[in-house]
Amino acid sequence: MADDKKKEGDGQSHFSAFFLIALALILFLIYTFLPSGGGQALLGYLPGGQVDAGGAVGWLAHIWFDFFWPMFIFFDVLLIIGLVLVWIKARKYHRAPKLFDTPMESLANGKKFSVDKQIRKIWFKVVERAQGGTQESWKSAILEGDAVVDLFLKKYGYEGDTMADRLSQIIEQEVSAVEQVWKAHRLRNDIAHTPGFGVSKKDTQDALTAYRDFLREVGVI
Amino acid sequence: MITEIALLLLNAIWPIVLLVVLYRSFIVYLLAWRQSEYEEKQSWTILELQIPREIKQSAKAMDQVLQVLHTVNDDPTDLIKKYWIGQKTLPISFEMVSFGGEVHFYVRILSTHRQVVETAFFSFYPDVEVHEVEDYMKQLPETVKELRMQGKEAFSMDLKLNREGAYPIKSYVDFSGGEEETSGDPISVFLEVLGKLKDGEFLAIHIHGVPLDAKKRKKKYESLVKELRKDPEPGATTFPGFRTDEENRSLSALERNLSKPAFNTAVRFAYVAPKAIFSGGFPRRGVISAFNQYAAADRNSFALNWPAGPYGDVWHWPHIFPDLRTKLRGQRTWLNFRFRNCGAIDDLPDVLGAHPINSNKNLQAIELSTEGLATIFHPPTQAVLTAPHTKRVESRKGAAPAGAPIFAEEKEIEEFTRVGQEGEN
Repeated sequence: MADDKKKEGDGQSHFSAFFLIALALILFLIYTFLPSGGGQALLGYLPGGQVDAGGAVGWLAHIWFDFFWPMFIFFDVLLIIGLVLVWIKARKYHRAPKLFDTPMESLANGKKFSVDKQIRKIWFKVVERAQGGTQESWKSAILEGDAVVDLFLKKYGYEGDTMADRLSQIIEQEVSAVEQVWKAHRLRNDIAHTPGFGVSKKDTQDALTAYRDFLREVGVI
Repeated sequence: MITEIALLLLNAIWPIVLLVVLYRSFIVYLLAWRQSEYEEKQSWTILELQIPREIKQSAKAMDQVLQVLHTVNDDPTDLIKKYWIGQKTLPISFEMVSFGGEVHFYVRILSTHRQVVETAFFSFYPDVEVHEVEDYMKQLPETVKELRMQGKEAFSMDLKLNREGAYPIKSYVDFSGGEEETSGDPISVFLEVLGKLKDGEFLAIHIHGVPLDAKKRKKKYESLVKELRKDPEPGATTFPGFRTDEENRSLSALERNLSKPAFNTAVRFAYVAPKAIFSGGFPRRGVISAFNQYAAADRNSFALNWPAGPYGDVWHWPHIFPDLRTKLRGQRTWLNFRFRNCGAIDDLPDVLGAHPINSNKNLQAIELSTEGLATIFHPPTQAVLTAPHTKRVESRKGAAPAGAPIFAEEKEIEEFTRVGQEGEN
């Protein structure tokens, strides 16, 4: 920490001359208070006071408040304008870290998402559909179950072109059910891309169990 | 009366106080803007050092190379250059990088100064080949978010010195003393750490250095030397009334260090790995243990710079929002590493990189003399050539055999040069 202070001191060296002038002016001002009664003369320059100062002190006060003081205000205003301009120009080069929220972080830290009503609702519909008992209902249940997982991934900020891209950002250490989801996802791809692909009841149960375990583990249903 | 006078005084001096504050901020932002613009215009060259099977030169040769590089200085010579052109000395980077266990040595320098590096290496390491390569950092994503999306984790960290920069670290002079079998090359530990990486892992050790002005440096440590040199008072009754051996050694090492040209450096390392095999502890401990070789009680030593590190825990100041701060710090250290941003090297605060709750002012510059820097970064000597990890030059290049007909008649030479010129055109 001591080093930090030293460094700051070095950095200020280029305005030390300026600082000295300012100090001299302050000392000069204090000096005007030294002769007895001189201070009283200066009070005329207080807001609302009357200018009734006379003699040397009054003259000094006159020089200060009527000449130097407005000059400093003028430079202040100039510097404020300059600072704003430079700040706008320099903004292009800003490289401060941006705050973003990735779901990966919370999963990696062992945290869960809270229950998502939308996903929960859709999920129960999928389960209902699977009760149909026909090939078609099983297939559509798997397709839709997969879509629910994808909905979760999209909604919670996993980016990627395909669902596989999005899903690959979750590893087994974070969510243990992800391996089963991969298996179910491959089954879903077979259903979607191979016409006449048949699924058994057990396949359907396994796939839906995988999706359910996954969604439960991340905490959204 | 008193309050009235105080009020008057306040009324009289507030424009000056404001002026001082505004002036300082204005200068800082102006320099930040102009220097950013200047930096953007520069082009960089990455040179890879390809190491031959056998290097006879010790780190002393690297010391000489660094002394040559120390002259590369672009400090502004007048006010227009400083405040409008934004000229400043940009760092030279010395980088040891491992891609899944394959170790590479790089030097990164402004393209305009490329010749200096090449000639310096050619003169002191004739067998080392210097090639220009593509910047490997371009393969790495620019933000933590993209990194995570690729399924990777990163850990990067800065180092600092435990004592003032005037104290040197242990150098190659200390390592090479004694008989041959006891003399070692400290770089072997780095090679081991870098070589231990598995496939898909990435570990880089970066040293970014800006040459320090020798006179300013001497002046900075004048009081310290004076204090150490102070003879005991004649009537001192306390024992010991004179310097101990260790103090003497410390003083002589310090004075020797101050007499050498030095670099103001930022030393940092970063480790990137796929999430499944990521282990934050291994590279951290490995690298710091490698840097620990240079520590000595009477000299200086390296330590991890936790205030600038990637974690912001509850027990670190300011103790609130630990999650938020950890997130920002992780990104901050990654940004600093990825863009080779070494804020502490110049004295200006990093206003453009500042975030309301993460100001990036905890980086600390490390003063290393050419001797110290050469000890950390040099082409590995014979002592470590058993290490199988380094990418090497496999064949030797040499001049044509002595008897080869390389001389020709004037006419033929003319013909050759003419053909060459045509080819260029």
